[in-house]
Amino acid sequence: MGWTFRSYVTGAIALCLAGPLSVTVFAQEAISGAGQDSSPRSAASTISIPALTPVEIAIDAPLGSKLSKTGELFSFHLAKPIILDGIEVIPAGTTGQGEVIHAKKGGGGGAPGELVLAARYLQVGDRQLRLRSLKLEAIGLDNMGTVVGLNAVAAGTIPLAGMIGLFINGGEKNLAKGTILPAKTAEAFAIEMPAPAGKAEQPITLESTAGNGAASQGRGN
Amino acid sequence: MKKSTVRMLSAAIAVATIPAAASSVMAADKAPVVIPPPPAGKGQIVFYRTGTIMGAAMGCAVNENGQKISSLGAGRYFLLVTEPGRHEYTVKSEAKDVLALQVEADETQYAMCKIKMGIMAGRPDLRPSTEADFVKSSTDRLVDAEDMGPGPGALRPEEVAAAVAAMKAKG
Repeated sequence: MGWTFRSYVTGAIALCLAGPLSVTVFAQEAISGAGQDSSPRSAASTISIPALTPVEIAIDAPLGSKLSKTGELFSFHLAKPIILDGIEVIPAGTTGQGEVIHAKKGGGGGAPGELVLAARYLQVGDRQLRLRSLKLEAIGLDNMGTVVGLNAVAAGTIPLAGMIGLFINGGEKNLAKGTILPAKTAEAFAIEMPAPAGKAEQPITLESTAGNGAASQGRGN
Repeated sequence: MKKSTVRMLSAAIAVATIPAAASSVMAADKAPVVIPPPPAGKGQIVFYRTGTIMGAAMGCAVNENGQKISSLGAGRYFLLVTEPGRHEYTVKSEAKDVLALQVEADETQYAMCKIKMGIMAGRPDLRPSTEADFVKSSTDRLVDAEDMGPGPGALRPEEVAAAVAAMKAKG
């Protein structure tokens, strides 16, 4: 075997080896390239929740005209997620805080109990989304009409019986734990949304088909 | 039960129900009260008092921070334009009553004064209310300008008329 023959054999072996190696390098470039292409798509997008977006909150503990005190804070959670264009922006269960603006128990003369609440904010990560416009029927059962009727009857029969009206209380306003109340967002609130996991992985799957068929099949199934 | 007692009871019940019947008949004839929206960025409260016989002669002046905003006679209402936030309003006669409200920008809220039974005299009771209850009460007379103030915020009748006209012009 002369030098030239050894050269041919070495060259042939080198060519055989070079083929798969170059394919491997191409495949690696394709995957890493796919990773670069997917980066803008997998980047977080910003969604802005407009001011006055309706929300529904559920209170975490009972509240009432007799039970609650003016000025005390109460906790609640989001009863339904905030969804914009079909995307869940803030999930149900997100906690928040409100304030008892006014609580007065039912009084003599049939006066009903009164309860005025305000939703203050939702805690979204380390930020607070301010809320407003919490609505509820703010008074309990009004018995003042009963007292007036009783007085009218008493006036025609036993005038002193009218004094009974002083001891007739109005109904209390009570809200059970879990009561759902409507409110609104008080401000526009920008929130960063991570790209959906499926979309970030998809480009890699498609590009890697050339170099790794088993992997793509695995994902496809 | 004696016949005379039954007759007296019937008469008393009839007397007690006359105002309610009369007010519903009158409500059908009257045009509904138009409440204009508050100026942009401000909140608004409609204070009203039903026109019942109970305590009709008594006043129900609404105060904030010790200053009278407006008197509130039986069957009358007034509009208070104010800054958003928590506000405390008081009414006082034999006893004092306080109502705190959360005023929201660009929204109208309602508060009602009712005179409830007291030992020597009736006691005003200021409570949160709703637009539906205001409409149902058929309260349709604005408080006169001279019964308003010195506290700020109560819209004078001409200011209410101008706001309603502006609202109608906007469509």
